[in-house]
Amino acid sequence: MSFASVRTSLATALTDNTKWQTFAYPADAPTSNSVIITPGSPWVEPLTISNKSVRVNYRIKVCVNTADNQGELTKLEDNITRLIELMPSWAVLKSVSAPQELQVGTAYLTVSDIDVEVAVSF
Amino acid sequence: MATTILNGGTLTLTINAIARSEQITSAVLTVELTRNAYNLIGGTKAFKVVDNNATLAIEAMQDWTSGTSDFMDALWLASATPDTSIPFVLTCNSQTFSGSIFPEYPTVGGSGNDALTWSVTFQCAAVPTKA
Repeated sequence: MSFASVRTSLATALTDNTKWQTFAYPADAPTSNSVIITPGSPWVEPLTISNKSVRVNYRIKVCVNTADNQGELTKLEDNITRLIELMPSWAVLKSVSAPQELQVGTAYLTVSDIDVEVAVSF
Repeated sequence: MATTILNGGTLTLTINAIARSEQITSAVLTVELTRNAYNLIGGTKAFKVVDNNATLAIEAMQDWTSGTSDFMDALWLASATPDTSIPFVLTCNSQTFSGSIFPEYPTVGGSGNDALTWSVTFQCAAVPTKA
């Protein structure tokens, strides 16, 4: 199993076209209502003896439009709830960050980060 | 002589002739000697080893699956006959340590925000041999 296949599998599992657009890679220009799979930090850590398995960390960015506080927070909560429902059993949910504002060009997005880890064997 | 720095990447472990390095996150083989000290007249001491004990401590991922080939199932089945030892081979930088351990039931479960792991200290049947 390769890192790329894990990342794309994670993106596939977290796809919900009725709620957001899913990017399996850092998007050039994040859009509102998008879910973006990015590497975490540290990205890869040794896990087992003989280095046969490693722990790969991912940071999933959940982006919603910055409109009014109540509306964007509710939208963010809905999307995070759905993402937790969609999280595959082989991915371990670590934490969800508080929302932060992200400026993209002249637009603003409200973004929360979901940190997950996946054990990968070679 | 230059020091050879080793890390866990040089370790491999087989249990019952099956490689388990993909599940095991830590493996430590320890041999302890019971050494008695005797105070002799004249102020000197004499030492005598009267016993020894070897253990193999491991930390591992829980890889429960429906099959019987995974580490957890194999240990659970082997633990049904806990007095029957099973062979192991631990290598460290191509140095081989061979012996037998008595199986232990693995633990099941863990916290919700972490990968499921478990740890155990196996009793060795005898001091392992080094090749």
